[in-house]
Amino acid sequence: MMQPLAQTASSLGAALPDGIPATEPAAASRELSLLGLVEVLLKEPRRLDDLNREEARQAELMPRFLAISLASFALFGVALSLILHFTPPAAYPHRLLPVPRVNLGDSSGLALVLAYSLGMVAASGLCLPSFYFFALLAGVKMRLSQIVSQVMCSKATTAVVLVGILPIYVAVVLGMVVFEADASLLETCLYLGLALPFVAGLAGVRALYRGVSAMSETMPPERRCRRACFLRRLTVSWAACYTAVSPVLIYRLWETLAPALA
Amino acid sequence: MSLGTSVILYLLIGVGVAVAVAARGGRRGELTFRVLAAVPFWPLFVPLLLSGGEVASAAEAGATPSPQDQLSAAIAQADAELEGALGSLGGWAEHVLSRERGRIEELRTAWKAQAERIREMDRLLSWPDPELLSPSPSPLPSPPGGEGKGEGGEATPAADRLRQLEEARRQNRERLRQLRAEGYDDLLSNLARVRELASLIHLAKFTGAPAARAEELVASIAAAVEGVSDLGWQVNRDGRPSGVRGQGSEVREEGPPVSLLTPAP
Repeated sequence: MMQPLAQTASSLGAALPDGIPATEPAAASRELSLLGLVEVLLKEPRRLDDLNREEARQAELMPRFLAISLASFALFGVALSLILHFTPPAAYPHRLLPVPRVNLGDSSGLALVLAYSLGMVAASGLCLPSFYFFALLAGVKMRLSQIVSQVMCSKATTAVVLVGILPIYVAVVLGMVVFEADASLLETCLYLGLALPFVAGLAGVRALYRGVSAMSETMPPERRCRRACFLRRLTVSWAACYTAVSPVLIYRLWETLAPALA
Repeated sequence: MSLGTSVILYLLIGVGVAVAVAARGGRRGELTFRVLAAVPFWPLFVPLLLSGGEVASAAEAGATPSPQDQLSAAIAQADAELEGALGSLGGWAEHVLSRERGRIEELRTAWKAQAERIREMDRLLSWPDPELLSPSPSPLPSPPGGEGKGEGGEATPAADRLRQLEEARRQNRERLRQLRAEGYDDLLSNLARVRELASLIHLAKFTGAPAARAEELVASIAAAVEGVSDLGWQVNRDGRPSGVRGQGSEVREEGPPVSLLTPAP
């Protein structure tokens, strides 16, 4: 029964008859490199969902998503440290929530970098059991490894979008510092900067919903339609849980690390 | 327990997980990153380690493609050609694409769903199909002219019922096999039809055809989703399989599953 399938598939994937080689294998191997993965995240998220659904590839993809996330959050931390270092004392965030001082002369800037890099990712680890139980409650049959893979894919999407909007934010805030903008306005902008990963996180939530929906593609359409509202609720619950945990974790890490490293 | 003790305990577990990650092997640079990342982020690595089974590398997966991968490859090839054709509409008839984008996405989803259903049926059909043991001989005398006969040529109600159930099961299995073959043929013909339409888009573009022709071709591609989504695995409200319809094929009405619990009409 499978013989015609093999023949058809091989003929479909073979080189073109006039000797022009098919380019698909090269594209497939490029996707798996770190930069290739970033490219796929930006250009072909649907293909990424397909890759992510393959169980054999999850163990390969997850560390790469982690590497992308860590690198991007570290870059964000460095940019924010620079901005906070050059912020006038009057505009330093203190009204809503006092944040630890950042001084490039000592290692207190490193505390911010570590707090964001570790906090954003470690919060996912803390929320994993909740994610698993939410998925069970929503009736989505996902293993913990699949949840990890989806969550890390969402995190990598957030990280890439964050790096994308970071230059605009840095340009705006540095402009405000240079042109001596009103202290309260600058402070508000700095608070916005501290929350920037959560703004970028909206793209991650979208990626998460797309990934979870892709997981349910194999259900018959009728069941999938009945589950659609549950998938939305599942994604919202995950996002709410993560959004509650991660700022607390980041702030506590920053507060703990800053005096130790200063 | 103080914070320091908790951190040490956490990192100790992390070291254990890192050793397990290192034992899985891999390329040197990547392995180093995995091992280092596993120490602080071990909760993310544990589910992957516990997911079980050998994690085949992409190279290994490519070297020995399973039938499922070949079906996926056929879909990927048709999808790539479709994407290429739709990409070539830029500057010629892109408004058509923006209108039909949703339905084309539906078509892709339907391909994958149908491929998964075929794999599922393959899995079911690959299960062994042994015959059950014959029922124990009945002390009752055989009914006059009765067809069910036990051991030694004696007709028993139990033997008769068993034979009928086995026959019904065989018929259902055969129906499943036919359904799988029809679904498979319909999927392949749908893929081939979309590939043909994709090549027609290229041809129309380079022969200077009007944008209306592109509109017609893209609408035909979008309409192909009907061919996939109406395939025989859909179940209607009665719980009976609906008519099997494929690309360019007639509607074939299928009866209800054969069962002794459902009297034949």
